[in-house]
Amino acid sequence: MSSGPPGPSLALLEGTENSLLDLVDNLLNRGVVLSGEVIFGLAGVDLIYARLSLVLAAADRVLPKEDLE
Amino acid sequence: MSGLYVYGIAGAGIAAPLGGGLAGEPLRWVAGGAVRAVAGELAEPPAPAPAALAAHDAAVRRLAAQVPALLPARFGQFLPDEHTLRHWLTAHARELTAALERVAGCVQMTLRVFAAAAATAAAPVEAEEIAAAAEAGPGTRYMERRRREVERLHSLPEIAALREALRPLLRDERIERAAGPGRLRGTAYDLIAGGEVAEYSRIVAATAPRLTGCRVTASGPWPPYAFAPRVPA
Repeated sequence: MSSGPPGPSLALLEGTENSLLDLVDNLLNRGVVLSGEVIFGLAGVDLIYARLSLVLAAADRVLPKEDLE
Repeated sequence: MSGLYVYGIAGAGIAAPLGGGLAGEPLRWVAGGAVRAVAGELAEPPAPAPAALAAHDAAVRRLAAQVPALLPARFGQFLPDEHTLRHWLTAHARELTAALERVAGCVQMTLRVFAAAAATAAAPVEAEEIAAAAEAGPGTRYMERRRREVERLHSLPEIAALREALRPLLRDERIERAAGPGRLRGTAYDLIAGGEVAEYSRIVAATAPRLTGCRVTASGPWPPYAFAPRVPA
């Protein structure tokens, strides 16, 4: 579903990219955390993350963090 | 190293058929205090590939449909054994119970706000804010600046009209303004009653096209991932 210039009828979960973005955001950046260390096995290598942070890649792919200080 | 992979937290209640998890493993309830978790035995933690994420979400959605309230677990919650899980549930039963009451019967809708192609400026600072800040002392100015920064991090004035139109449906909301100069302005996670999805969609479809300088996409319904409590791991 999107706004902007009048166009095709709106639909939820518009586009594969938007769906994957929401899936990654919800599952890797939200939800209950039970384990301080989340260990992913990836190609035979255990990756240990003390903290997961997700950079949402939308049209710009990478959003650098803003320094508020 | 095998362990328990957790999909979500629910309250105490009648047993429901749980089916299989993302790897087809049988799922079971693990109780701790007044709450219980849904978990399955896996030989190793799953890799965060798109297919695994989708399978985790599918399992969570199926479980959410079978209980009055479910707090989805983040992907990758892998604990060594049932004892560890029971201990964690019992230790956080109070916060989890309160969160379950908040999300009962609800789903999450997600709005993402993008600047229109030619508009990349950050949210405007009100002129009266600038004038008030100029009159205050340095300490007050610093505190006011920090307060405004925190407010801006959790506000999307670009879609104020849409937020007002949705207000009657919102049980809770989380707003995160995007950092950086990119086109993503921010995201609003809305908790609404499950029966209000159609009305929510109607309001977004009717109101969002009238917004200027930005474009809004909506997705959902999702299980309430963004409304899971932050409890110590």
